[in-house]
Amino acid sequence: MIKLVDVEKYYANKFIKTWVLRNINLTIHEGDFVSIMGPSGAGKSTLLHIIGMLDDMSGGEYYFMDEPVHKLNEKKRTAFHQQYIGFVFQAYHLIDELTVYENLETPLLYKKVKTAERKSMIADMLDRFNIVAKKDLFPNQLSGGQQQLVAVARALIINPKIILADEPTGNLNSKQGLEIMEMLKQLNKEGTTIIQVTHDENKAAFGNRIIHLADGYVEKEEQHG
Amino acid sequence: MIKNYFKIAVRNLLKYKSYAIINLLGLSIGMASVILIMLYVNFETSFDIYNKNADRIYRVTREWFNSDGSTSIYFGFVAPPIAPLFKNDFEQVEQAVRIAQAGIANLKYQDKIYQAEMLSADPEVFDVFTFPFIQGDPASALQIPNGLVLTQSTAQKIFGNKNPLHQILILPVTKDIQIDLIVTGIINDPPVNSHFHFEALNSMVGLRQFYGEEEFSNWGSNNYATYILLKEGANVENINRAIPQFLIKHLGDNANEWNTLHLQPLKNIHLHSHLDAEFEPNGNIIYVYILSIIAVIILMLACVNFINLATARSTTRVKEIGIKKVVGANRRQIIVQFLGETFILSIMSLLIAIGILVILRPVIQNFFGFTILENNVTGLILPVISLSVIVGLFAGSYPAFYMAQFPPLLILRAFQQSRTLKSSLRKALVISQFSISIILMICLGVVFEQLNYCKNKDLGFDKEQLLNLPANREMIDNYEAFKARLMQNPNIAGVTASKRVPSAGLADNSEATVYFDKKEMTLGFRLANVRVNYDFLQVYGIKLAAGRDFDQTYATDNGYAFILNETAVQKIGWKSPSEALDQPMTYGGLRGQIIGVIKDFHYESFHKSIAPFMLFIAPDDFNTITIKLAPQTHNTFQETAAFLKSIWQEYLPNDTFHYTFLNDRYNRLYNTEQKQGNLLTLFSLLAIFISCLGLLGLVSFFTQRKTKEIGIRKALGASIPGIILYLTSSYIKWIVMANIIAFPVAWYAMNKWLQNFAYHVNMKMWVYLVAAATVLLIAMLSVSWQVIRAATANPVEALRYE
Repeated sequence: MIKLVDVEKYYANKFIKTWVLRNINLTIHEGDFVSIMGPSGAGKSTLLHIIGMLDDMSGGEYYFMDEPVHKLNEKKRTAFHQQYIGFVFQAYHLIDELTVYENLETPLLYKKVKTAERKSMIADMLDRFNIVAKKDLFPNQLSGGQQQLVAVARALIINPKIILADEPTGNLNSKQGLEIMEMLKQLNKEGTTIIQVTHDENKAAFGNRIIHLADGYVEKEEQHG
Repeated sequence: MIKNYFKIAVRNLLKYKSYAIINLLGLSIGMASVILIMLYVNFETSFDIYNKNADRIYRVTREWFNSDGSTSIYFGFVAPPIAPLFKNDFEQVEQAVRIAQAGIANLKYQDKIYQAEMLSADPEVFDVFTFPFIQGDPASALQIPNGLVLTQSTAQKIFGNKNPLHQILILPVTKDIQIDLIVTGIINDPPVNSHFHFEALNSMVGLRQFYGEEEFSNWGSNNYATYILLKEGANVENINRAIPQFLIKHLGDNANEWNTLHLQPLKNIHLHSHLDAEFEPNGNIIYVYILSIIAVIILMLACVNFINLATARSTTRVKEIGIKKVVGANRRQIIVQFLGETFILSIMSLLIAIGILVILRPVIQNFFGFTILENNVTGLILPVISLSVIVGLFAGSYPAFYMAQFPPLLILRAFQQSRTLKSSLRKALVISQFSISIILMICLGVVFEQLNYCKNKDLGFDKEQLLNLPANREMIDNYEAFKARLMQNPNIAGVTASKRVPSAGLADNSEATVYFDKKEMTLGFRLANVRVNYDFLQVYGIKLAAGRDFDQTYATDNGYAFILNETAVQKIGWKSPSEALDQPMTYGGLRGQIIGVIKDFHYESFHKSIAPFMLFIAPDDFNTITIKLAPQTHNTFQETAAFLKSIWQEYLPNDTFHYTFLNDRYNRLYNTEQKQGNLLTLFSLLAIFISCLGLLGLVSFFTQRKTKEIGIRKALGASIPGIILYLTSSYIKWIVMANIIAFPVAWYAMNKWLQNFAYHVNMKMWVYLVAAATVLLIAMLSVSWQVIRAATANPVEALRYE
């Protein structure tokens, strides 16, 4: 599903190149649950952003469902977002001015989903995450765990092939964190590919593959079950 | 989708209320100014177009030349023979009519006197001008010599609900003569946007019977506004080309050397015609232009505020944009969203602006001196709506495109202290805003200094304590007795009479000859005259440079003695006033001697240089009596006025007593400038207000962003004044730069404006400095409120919040 070939990323500052990622070769198959681990500054988030097409590569090739992403224009990439990719962030990143309901609606609006269909999709999602009662609240009226729940729901609502999660439990207490991880695990079982960034070994263990990054290189990879 | 945008827009407005208020206030004031100026411009440019045939109507004007070919005088009124001759001589002229001013008529109906502004017009006037008849027949109404056409409101005033048609009104002309006028027509009141107004029209046929054929063949009686209606498809150029031949035919071979006729399109009269004689003071196209420019400037100031604030505050929207992009929005959708937000704001501002105008409507009409007409308003609906679209586009485009290009990662990296977002553009915009405010302030200063100068400068005579009374034929006959009666009152220091009074134009002139080496020589320039009565110099306090005043004891002073002003003496070529004394001179058929030379004084407004003119005694030819009050009359003025009225009514029981102060007449000469000054005050205050509003928004935003920095600096030992200086120094720098730009522009503009005056103030540096200081002060006041708050805050508080 995802194939990275010799991907590298650096920031050029006058004469000094600061390397973030080097020599990344990685293949991720449909149905994988990949955890990316590593110390701060290892390039975990950057790798996730590149996979999520939010950031450009400095070099290398990136195939997403056999499409060469490194050759695509912005429009095409936006189309990929809308269709296949859902994001979950450490800081939730809900739109503060919109209610839970409206936050869930936003991706569908950009996907130009018809009103009636939209309503039923949102209703389903509220139901599934058990947040029907919260639908008219604004993000700042929810706890962190609830906000992240909404964020996961928002990521899922477009029915993505893959969910990219950047430290999804980083801002949550352990109980809430565990709930979110269980949720992701469940989604994975239902067929959604998941890539998460974390530095918590316990959370990483939810994945079937763990990729360790250090100083921009893939240090090692572990396979589970 | 639109609903989503709308929700976000409204919630953002509610969340950042002060920001929303600043934007709404700025934009709505800007829009209100623009709509106001649109209404004004629309009104000013709508004059006379109510006439169905406006495009084919021209006014005939007449220009006279000095011997050197320069213009000596230029009238909007011409001689009575011209209209019939045009109709006769030019095949392309369909109709030609004359309209003459008849002044305020005292119309008597059932023992009550009604005053009405009257014009005399040829019967065919309704063929040319469109005055719809409510009653009566336009073709015949003024064919009857004593026919009278009234406007609806005048008819209402006099007759109430009675049918006015065929009623008789009595017009007293002199003590012994009165004319019965018969109402033959009622017309709609002429529109406000007409270059002449009237309440009653009487027949030129009747006027002709009254004055006689001599007047109507007199090429020297230039009192008849003459309008021609061209045939359809006729070209006015053909007539223009034929005018020299026309003048030769009727006035002799050299006619074109000393005068000519022009054809003025009717629709141009109000804004383009400023001749020496007009029905009413006209508007000026220059002011229409100036105000239009000011409107655009004010609107731009408001839009600039919006752009500045929107881009400065864009960081608060970074997260939302980023998320939207992550969940699938593209650039175009973000642009549409932000443009949409601006449109919402723009429409809200438009509604507020309209509200402001509706509430302030009476004040505005008074202040601007124009009427907001129905058709003005309906005609402006489309432009006004497009105004809000233009504002939305102009103010919204840059922020929208600017924000749409934020990469989504900006937020994902929690990259709060984003790049210094094109701050140079913002700086430039703020500086230009303040430049404009300073320019307007300087203009304001110079205009008022000049007005002050005009009103207070020594005119060369004493204009205080002078009353003017209009005199009619009956009063002229009784003048000597009236004067003798008045002089018995100790509160009255002097009485005189004259054909014209200072402050009015020097409109009369005749050919003059003087003698050099016993050779008679015609003067090559226009020597104007004022026909006066005895005591003129004494009443007006005009000083003699040589010779003596007119004296009743010299029989020859009546018609055979002339007094010149210094400019006239100089222009004729005499080296000193005393050299002119006793020189023989002829003036318009009068043969006499120069008995005195008066010191120059400002007879006309400061727009004009002092013109050469002369005085001579014409005991029966005056229309104004001037009374000088004795100095102590301040407290006794009411008493004196009552006395004047009682004496006046002894002689003219039918006439209403009416006086004006000469002082007011002088002040009225600068009405246009006063109006301009008022407008400038209004708009420069608005401009400064809008600029400061924008600055306030920027400052409060940046100061907020600097809370942490201020906290750290204070924790490190910075003093409060130090922090204030640190925070304000960049704003001071901006305003200093705004001054550097503003000064030369203002100097250039005001130098041009002052050229309109033959006598004007020199621009003084202090005006510039005061303007600069005022703007700086106002700006600093709006800045300091925020800054002081930030500087005095407890640093611990500031740091704890991070």
